Parts: sequence; C-alpha cells; structure tokens
Amino acid sequence: MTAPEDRWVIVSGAGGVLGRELVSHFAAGGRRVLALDREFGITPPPGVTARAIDVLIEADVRQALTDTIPAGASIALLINAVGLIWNEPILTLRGAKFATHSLESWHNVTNANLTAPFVVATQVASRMVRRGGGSIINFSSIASEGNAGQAAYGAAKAGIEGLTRTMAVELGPLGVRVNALALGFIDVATTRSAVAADRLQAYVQKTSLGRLGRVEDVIHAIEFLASNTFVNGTIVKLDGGLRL
Amino acid sequence: MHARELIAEILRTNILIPPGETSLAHIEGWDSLKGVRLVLRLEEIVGRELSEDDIAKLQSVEDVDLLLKTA
Repeated sequence: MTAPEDRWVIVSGAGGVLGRELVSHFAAGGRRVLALDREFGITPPPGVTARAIDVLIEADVRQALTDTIPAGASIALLINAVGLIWNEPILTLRGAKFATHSLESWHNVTNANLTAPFVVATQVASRMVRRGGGSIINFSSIASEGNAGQAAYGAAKAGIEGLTRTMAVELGPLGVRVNALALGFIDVATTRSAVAADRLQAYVQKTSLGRLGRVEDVIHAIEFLASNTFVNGTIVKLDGGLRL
Repeated sequence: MHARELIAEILRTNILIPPGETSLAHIEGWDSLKGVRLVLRLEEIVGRELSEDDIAKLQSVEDVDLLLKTA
C-alpha cells in the first residue's frame, strides 16, 4: 500500500497568494506537490514541481500530469484553487449612458472560476479513479449566494458548487470525494486589493467573529475535507459567521 | 467471481441479472457510470489496466465472463 506521503497533492492556482501558501504548507509536510498556474511570481519551495500552463487547455493539463506523475503513482488530493476575483456591476452609468456588464469580462471570469477548475478536476479525477481514489476540493465563495457587483464571479461560484455536488454523486462510487470551500473574506493581498479598506472594515463589523479569515483557517478546512473519508458533496462555508 | 455476481454488485441490487448474451445496456439500471465502475472493478480483479480494445469488447454479460476468465 502506498504511504500517504508518497501520494501526490496537486494545487491549481498555485501562483496566487493563497495557492502559494497551500503549496508551501503541503511541501513543508513532506508531500509531493505539483503546482499548476499560468505563472509563478516566486520560485516554488524545494521539492515542488511547478508547471506554468494555461489550465483552460485540457491537453496541457493532461500533459503536465503525464510528465510529472509517474504512471504507477497516485494522487491523494487536488486543491482546485484556480480563480479570479472580479467586481463589475450589471448596469452602471458612463456619463449619461447606461453601460452593461462586459461580455468579455463575463467570459474571462467564468472561465477562470468555473471552466478552469472543471478542466483540472476532470483530468485529475480520471487519474484518481484508477489509482485508489482521492479527494478534490474546489473553491467557492460566499458570493455564490449573490453579492452586488459580482455577477460573473457569483454565478461562476454558484456553478462550482453545482459542479462539486454533481461530481460527488458521480465520482463517489469510484472512490473520489469532491467537496468545496465557500470562502468569505480571507486576509490576503488579493482581498485587500479587491475590496476597499472601509468596505472591508464594514464586513469585519458584520462578521460575528469580528475578524477576517486567516490562511490557517483555510488550511485547517482543507485538512478536514481531505482527511474525513465520509464527507462528500459538502460546501463548507468559511466566513466567520458573516452571512448568518 | 462470475459476471452476474459482479454486475449485481455494481448495480447494488439483488435483481436477477440475465445470463449470456444479454447486452449490458439492456440491464435495468445500467448507465455509463455503471460502465466505468465495471471497468475499474474488472481492472482490480484481473490485476491490469484494460486496453481500449478490451473495453470495447465489453458488450454483454458473456463478454464480462470471458474477461473474468483471464484473471
């Protein structure tokens, strides 16, 4: 039987702020990590295989898996953290004219937050089912419940929740569990650049725990979903009680 | 293990699986997901990855039995 540390962990969106933290965490724990993203701003930690690819391209994802993970090796965990935060209202005034949400940005945002995780998850799942099963963790957001100014982002995140449940139903019998984290406001640079400081402070005041989420909170949730073998098709909300 | 036993296991059912030349597609409750599960269970049993040719030949209960005999 393969020792847990010999089974691979894959992180998509590994070049992002949160992705880098997740890669570092699992690499520090002695896991074999394959990091996927379009680009990596910093050199990945030792022992991590980083592949700079467009995860929207199915063939490139497949090739990265084939090149990196030996044929007999198994994948324990996919952390599907690829995504893009985007704010754009449905309707806005430009001068005296109504302007509508750009279709181009709609496609970009739904590609990054729904299609890309779909591509990675399906390719990884096809490897997992033949190598002892595994766990897939997708990334949703509390914006899936509706958030003004985030039509494309919210729609994509609602989509990822539906995808998560559907994959859980289809892949559970094949030994692959699929769950998602619906993140609230996590204290990382991307949150602070996407949300104005006064607005972020207002969210903190509305949060029953009175603070932003920490990277460690996300890691603990991932460890739970990865290790509890009876959790499947669940969306874990990680928002400190903001949406109660 | 016989094909009918394996197919019942995959369908999670106690219904009597018809023998012989019955097409898998005509068995009550059969669908493409069950097909995937059948291939994965067969790979466990025979101890090797099935080729596309092997999988293409899996059309009937009898075909499953033939493959099981190679284990």
